[in-house]
Amino acid sequence: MQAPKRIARGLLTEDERPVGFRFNGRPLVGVAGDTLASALLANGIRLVGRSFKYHRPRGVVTAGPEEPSALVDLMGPAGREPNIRATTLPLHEGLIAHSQNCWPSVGFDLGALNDGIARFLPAGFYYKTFMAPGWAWERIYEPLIRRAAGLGRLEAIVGRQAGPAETVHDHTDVLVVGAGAAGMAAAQRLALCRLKVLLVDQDCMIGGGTLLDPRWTAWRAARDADLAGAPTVRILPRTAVIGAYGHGVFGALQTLSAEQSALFGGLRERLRIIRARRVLVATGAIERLIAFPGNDVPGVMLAGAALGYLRRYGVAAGSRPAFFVNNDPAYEALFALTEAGVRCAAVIDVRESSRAADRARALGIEVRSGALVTAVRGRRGVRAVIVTGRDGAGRAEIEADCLLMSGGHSPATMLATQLGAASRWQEPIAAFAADLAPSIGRIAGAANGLFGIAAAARDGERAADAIAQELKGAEGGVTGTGAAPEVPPDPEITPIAAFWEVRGRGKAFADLQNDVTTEDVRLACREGYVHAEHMKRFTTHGMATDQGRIGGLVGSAVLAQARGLPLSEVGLTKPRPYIEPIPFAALAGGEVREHFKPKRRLPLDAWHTAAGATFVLTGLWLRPLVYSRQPGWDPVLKEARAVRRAVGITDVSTLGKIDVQGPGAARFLDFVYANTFSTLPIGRARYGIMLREDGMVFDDGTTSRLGPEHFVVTTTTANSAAVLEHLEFQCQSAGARFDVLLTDVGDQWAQFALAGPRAREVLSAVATDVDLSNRAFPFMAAAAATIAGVAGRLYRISFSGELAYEVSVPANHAQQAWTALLDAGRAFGMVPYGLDALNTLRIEKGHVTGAELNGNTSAEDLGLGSMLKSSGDFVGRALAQRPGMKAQDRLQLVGVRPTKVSQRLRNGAQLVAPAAASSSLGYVTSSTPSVESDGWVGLALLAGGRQCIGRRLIAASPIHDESIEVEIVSPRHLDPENARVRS
Amino acid sequence: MARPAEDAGIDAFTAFVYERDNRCGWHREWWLHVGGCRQLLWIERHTLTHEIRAAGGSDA
Repeated sequence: MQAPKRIARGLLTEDERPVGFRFNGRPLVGVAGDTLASALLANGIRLVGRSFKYHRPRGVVTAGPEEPSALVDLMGPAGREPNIRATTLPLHEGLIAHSQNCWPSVGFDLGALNDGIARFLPAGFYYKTFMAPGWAWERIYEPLIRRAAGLGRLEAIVGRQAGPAETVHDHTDVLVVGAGAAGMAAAQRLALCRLKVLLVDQDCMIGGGTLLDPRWTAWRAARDADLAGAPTVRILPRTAVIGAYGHGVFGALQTLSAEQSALFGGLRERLRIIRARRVLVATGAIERLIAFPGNDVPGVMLAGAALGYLRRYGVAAGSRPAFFVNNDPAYEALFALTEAGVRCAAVIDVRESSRAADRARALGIEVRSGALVTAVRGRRGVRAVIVTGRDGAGRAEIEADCLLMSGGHSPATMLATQLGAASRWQEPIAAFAADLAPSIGRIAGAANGLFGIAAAARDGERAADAIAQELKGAEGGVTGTGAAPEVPPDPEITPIAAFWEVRGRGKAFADLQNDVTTEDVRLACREGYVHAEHMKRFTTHGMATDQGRIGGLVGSAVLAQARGLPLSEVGLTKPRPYIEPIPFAALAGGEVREHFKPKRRLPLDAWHTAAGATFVLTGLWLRPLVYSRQPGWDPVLKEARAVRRAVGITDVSTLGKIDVQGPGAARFLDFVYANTFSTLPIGRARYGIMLREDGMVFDDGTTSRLGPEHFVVTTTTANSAAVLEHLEFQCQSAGARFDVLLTDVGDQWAQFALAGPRAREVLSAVATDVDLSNRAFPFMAAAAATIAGVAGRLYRISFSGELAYEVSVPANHAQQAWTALLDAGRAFGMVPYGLDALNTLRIEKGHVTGAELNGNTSAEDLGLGSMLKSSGDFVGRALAQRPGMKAQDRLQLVGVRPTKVSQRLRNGAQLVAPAAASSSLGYVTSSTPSVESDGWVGLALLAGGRQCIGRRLIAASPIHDESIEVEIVSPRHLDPENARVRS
Repeated sequence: MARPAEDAGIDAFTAFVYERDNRCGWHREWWLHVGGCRQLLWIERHTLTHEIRAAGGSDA
């Protein structure tokens, strides 16, 4: 066990540069170029973590991103990052990592008790066990499961800066995914045709399988030089394609090396959005596990991984490895380890004979043909393997410190499948390959089911030529040949024998990451989950970070056998994006915190800020909430009281404004509004409600007629974008029916509401060319006017319920008009008021906003049913007539007030009858302390509400632990005769 | 899908608003160029492959 593990020079490692790190608190030393996994193996550490469900000891299984077991918590500058694959994590000085899924320690883990009671925890046990009684779910089961379940441990990183990321866009002729022999050869051919090529690979350097075979060093060096000198080729290592999105759009995650990261100010990742005319999928093949009892014991690894650790890092996976294989390529690890001086224990090959077995025997290595591994000795690490013949005879125990398995290789078709490629079973390789539509691209090399490096290189060139032909036509083919490096021949091989599972005592895992055994797969089948997709969801086979790459086909094979069907009919599950785990930080890119959404600022933002406003974000807008930093309702009520008693001014520039012009303008508005606008006289405004086609109220606002063919529509702030889109759709989709043009003028016009009994006096001082007398400019009048020397518009409309005007001026003159109005108002005690006071005023008046126009309320519900015109078509007309829309037991708008003035209302409080066990009859939508009367007032939606005026109900707000008695009243708490607005 | 005539009745409008075939094949649909010219255009898209075989403006 203590034999030196670093036995050769690795391709990536620099032995003379030691790197210190800590694993589970233990100080260790690796070398520059190591991954965490290679450094742990070099330190003789096999037990890396515990498994997800049974908490079984687990070690490193692969040498790449397909790793199911060696997931660790990385203690980074941003805190604990879970589920980091040790096999792809570059080692750096001071790295700190911890094992996952274990408590109190990886060596002694209480959760391992699950392993002993495993027969009570079969697949799907959550669904069945934790059912009755209902109350127990919330109080007992869920907290218990939450603590025990989940991969890794997530810590909130709120308030801390997660690693920064950015998003970039790439455009290319051909995206080549995978830079092994096929991808490199293809990229070089495409470059000769002067096509733009983006060559990406997950690995930290390009080369793929050629990195593991020294015979290919010269070829790779020559191709490296070709590609580096090709002006149309860009090479991106450390870049994993995470999804294909149709129309040539791909997502890729580029992880920056430590050096690059330092250059870009600590940037960790780039999300690359790639647009390509064609894709060449050269993603290689992934080695499969074999399911046998104990195939998860630390020290059981894929044969190809052992080859990878030796070639890339100079690390031997063990000092006495045994092999369990069904194919010839797996022997490459045996030959390489033997050449490096490792004494291999034995090869157990399920086949009766093979060329590779003959070669091994010639080297003096014991090969047991036609044999199986039926068990593994050792719990925290392999000590020996139990071997029998395929007939069960000749049991033997072979001492070994690791077991290198290989069940064959599956073309990596996940990306191709996302692109709509059909899977086809390939008997000679015992795996599925895929066919891609030529208009999308090609698949080449091992991904195309052609194993062997030379075969892959040839296939890459073939695919590249086909793509070049399509993109450039016959005349635009290869313009030169370049230097043709020597291609080492692929070894002759004996075909694979399909082999999936050794049945016996003990758990045989088809999915190591999710602890799914072959028995779980059979259980799913017995339970009726016979489709591969259903089996996946019942067992979780193939889920999580590794997406079942090394065991996916094994699960399907076990399912096929259980169903008595050929594997080709059962197939694989469909991989959806993302193929690779991707941090949320990378998806978010730069759009975080203050850059999460753009901010819209009012034209008078600087004035509001200087006036000491507290701002609130409504949609994208920053609006003054109240002109005070003092918490509580006092400053709000002070502003609202000034409006009721004297005059106030507020900035309502956020309202949507749409200019509607044309001969068809009036007819168009009649069509999109539920009420009539064609009868509106010039110089008048009218309140309108707009329905959706399903008959529900969509938006409300005032529309003014400025000329025979000229209207200005205002929308609510929240719906301004949606209403514009809706109107554009209605206008354009109707063809030539409406001769009308819509222009969004929301940003062009600033708008202020001047409200209160003294509003006329203030405005008279500023709007000099308009007669503001009640007779000349009555309620709902609209006119062009000069305001403080600015050509603007004046509307006599009121949201507050007071005598009020809205003043509209071009946005770049907002300051001039606003200041003049404030100056004029000083003598009358005018104050600016914010959104909170505005809300107080409108609730008292019973005006609705988004809380009541919630998409589920009809005009009838809001007491606006009489506004619907009785003749003429309009959007929503037909479906608003449905009997259910007018039913009197629907939630209807009412007012509420507590019966005790000392009690406060809560938005969202449920209205229930005083009798016990009453269910909800409705809820409070808006509430505010009143300035007009004592105590709180509110609006509510109440079942059959208009019939309940005068009734007493309970408003219950369990989250505040409050229950108060309220009286149902008219929503018009204030001035029901509407006299003030006309005064 | 064309909006029913004014007097087509509730059933016709119910079908227009709520009932859609989830077809596998060619599908004609409206797109609005929100981030640009704000013009409505129609496209014919294959719901399985997302291939687009035809497109036009709302006046076409």
